[in-house]
Amino acid sequence: MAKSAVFQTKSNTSVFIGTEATMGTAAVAGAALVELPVTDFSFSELAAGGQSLSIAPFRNSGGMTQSDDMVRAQRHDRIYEVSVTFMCTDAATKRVLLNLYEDGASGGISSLIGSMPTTKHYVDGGTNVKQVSLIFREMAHAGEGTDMVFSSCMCTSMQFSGDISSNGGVVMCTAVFQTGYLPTNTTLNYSSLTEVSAQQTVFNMHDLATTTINSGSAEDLVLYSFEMNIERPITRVGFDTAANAFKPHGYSLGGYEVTGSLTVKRDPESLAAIAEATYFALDLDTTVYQILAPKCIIDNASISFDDDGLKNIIPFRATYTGATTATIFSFAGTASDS
Amino acid sequence: MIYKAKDSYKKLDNTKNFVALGCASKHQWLVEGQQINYNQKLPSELKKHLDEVSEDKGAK
Repeated sequence: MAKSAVFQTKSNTSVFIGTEATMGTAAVAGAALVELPVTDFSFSELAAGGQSLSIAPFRNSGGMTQSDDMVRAQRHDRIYEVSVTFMCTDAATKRVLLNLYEDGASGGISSLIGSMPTTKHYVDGGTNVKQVSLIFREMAHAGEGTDMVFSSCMCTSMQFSGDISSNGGVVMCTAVFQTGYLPTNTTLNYSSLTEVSAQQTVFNMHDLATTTINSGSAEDLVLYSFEMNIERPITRVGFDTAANAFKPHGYSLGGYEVTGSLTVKRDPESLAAIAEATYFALDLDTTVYQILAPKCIIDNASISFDDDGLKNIIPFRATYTGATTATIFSFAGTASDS
Repeated sequence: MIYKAKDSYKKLDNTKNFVALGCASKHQWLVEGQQINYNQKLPSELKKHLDEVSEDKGAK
């Protein structure tokens, strides 16, 4: 075949999360899609992209080399991964959190509580609506007009990171998704889109009105940067035939770990905030966007000896307390979220 | 509006309760007998399994 003149560029795409009706089936043309205001992304290649090699040991005689019987494509356990970094907006962030822990409705506070997850059984062909399609417009090998689609993805980690001295103060989210299903190329005309143009308010460090740690009294911190990480691994279960692309029979879920870190000016407030063996409540609030973590414990506070003044680095782990319905982490994206 | 779950709410599957609305935390609070605050329009099929409450006793 002759060389192709087709190409894809990162500047000519839009990235959407699509709601699925059935596990193993990509979002259809009429599915609800939410656009992510991405600044960067990466994804696994299709075809041999998810293929690793399985290799037999060398035998002692008959040649200590490798024949094609000894080296085979391993496809029964392949996992495809997608990573997106996007600006923290209400709609985009909640759509990812809805996939991560099933709580992310518009108009509501998105909360990870002690008794989650609610849905634990993910089976191929099942009518769970939690797994999502990740759609990269114009990103297929055929370029313009064809999309790269990763179906039945599960978010395995979501990181919020904000730094007042970089990215214009915009809080960035980095979400990693995994799927055991083979990616595809499509040319669907999607009709139900919540595009970035409708997501006009962005979480910005310069808008923070409250930056407190409360372990008995509220310590008001001069916050330079923060990170908040929510991780939840998944494992694919089983494998179908080669004719069905070794698709999984389902997914198994791992547990949630919520960790974070604050970088603050080192002062009497920060000293009171790092009391040993004491749990604290974190509150970061712009009066529109708010991150709460009511029961955190510090994991080795340290000092950063910077030229612009010493800072405390406060890593922590968020937990729940008491009843399993207690909150570990919550995110609000509008002033009226309830 | 503040709501509490009727007994019938607990029999709904996850395609008909608050999990289907993307509010798994509100679903779990209702199942545990707590009040929730929900200001969006409720599907009528779901609303009949909830009681509207006038007094806020720590609604989530």
